[in-house]
Amino acid sequence: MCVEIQNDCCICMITLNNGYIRMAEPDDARALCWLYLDGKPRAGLLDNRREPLIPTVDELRELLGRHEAAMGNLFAIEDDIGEVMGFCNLRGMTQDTGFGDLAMMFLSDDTFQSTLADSVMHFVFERSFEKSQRKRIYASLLSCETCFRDFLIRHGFESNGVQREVIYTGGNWLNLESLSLDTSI
Amino acid sequence: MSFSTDSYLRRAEREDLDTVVAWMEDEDFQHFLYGDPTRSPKQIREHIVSMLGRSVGHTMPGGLYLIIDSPSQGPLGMISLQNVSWRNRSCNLDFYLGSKGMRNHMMTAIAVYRALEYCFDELNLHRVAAYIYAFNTPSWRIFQKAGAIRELVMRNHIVRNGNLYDVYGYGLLRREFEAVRAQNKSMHSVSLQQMILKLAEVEDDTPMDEAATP
Repeated sequence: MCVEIQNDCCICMITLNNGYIRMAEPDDARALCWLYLDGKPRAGLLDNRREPLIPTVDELRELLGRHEAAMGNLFAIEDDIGEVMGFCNLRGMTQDTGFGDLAMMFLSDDTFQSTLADSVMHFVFERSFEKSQRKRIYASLLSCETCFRDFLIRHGFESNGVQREVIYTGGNWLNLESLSLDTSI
Repeated sequence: MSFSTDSYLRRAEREDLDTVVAWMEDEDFQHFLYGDPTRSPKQIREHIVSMLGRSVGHTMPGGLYLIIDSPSQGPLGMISLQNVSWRNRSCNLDFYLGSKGMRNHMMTAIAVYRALEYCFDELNLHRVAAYIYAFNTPSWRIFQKAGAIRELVMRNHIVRNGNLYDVYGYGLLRREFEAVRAQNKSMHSVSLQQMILKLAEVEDDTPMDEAATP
């Protein structure tokens, strides 16, 4: 069960099983930066050209402080003692079809097997399908993101296919897979 | 026949603006163009217009707009290379044949072949991707004949005339394009004409005027 605390315009904090989810803020910059630097490529951190970025903490702090970021859909996920465990990003994709795009990243891949991750996904479903009336959620992942893939499959996502040799990193070509979940499932 | 092999590629210039805008006003442009899945056709159009003649030839831009031109027939169409990643050596390819009279399979094959040659032989890319509507059969058939693999199927992904349609994501790797090129060379001739004819072979009775582009 989620307990939602809201002000006039945005969500402040939601209580999940074994943790919390809230809008990301400038103080989350260091935790977010670590996701870029820990040596694990993640599809959710690539730019439009599918290139990895190496942002500084200051750049991320500035980005998270912008009005559109504060009002946007980047959420920080905390455990029950308030430590940031990861981030979740929900974006609108195409307006005419009502699709959304999901990225979820944890500092440790083990978190994907936790009840906290499951409750984050329930939050995503509620927000996407019920509140935003989206009909489908897409998620992209690299061939090395096996824990994220298992997590998505466990929650009903199905593969749309794999784009081959899209990203060159760590001396290797990585594939990019697209998965999706429809509201009717 | 209404095709020409004297066509060549050049960068789009400011002087092309009227021609390109006229193509964009054609309803087929909205109907067939897919491009970047995160941008609407209106955004794509505004971006193209703003980019014409602005990219510098010798730098490494993130997007390139090329005009398919012909000395005998003038500008025939436009090729857009988007999301060019020089790190991953990849790009997304769109092409549009502005002249309806040129939308036979031969002209489409020439456009695709010239664009792919440019991507692999001039820009030294590793991968070319294209998103094509499922109903745009001539376009994805020609892409397949060039060696591309259908990697993604996004079901009921796009709305046209109130109906939902699938979108295919195609990917072509450099080695696959070279294999197709080598195969065509070993058959009879090394001529461009032979390779284009092979690419333009069609297996269905799809009307010619549907041969617009991704």
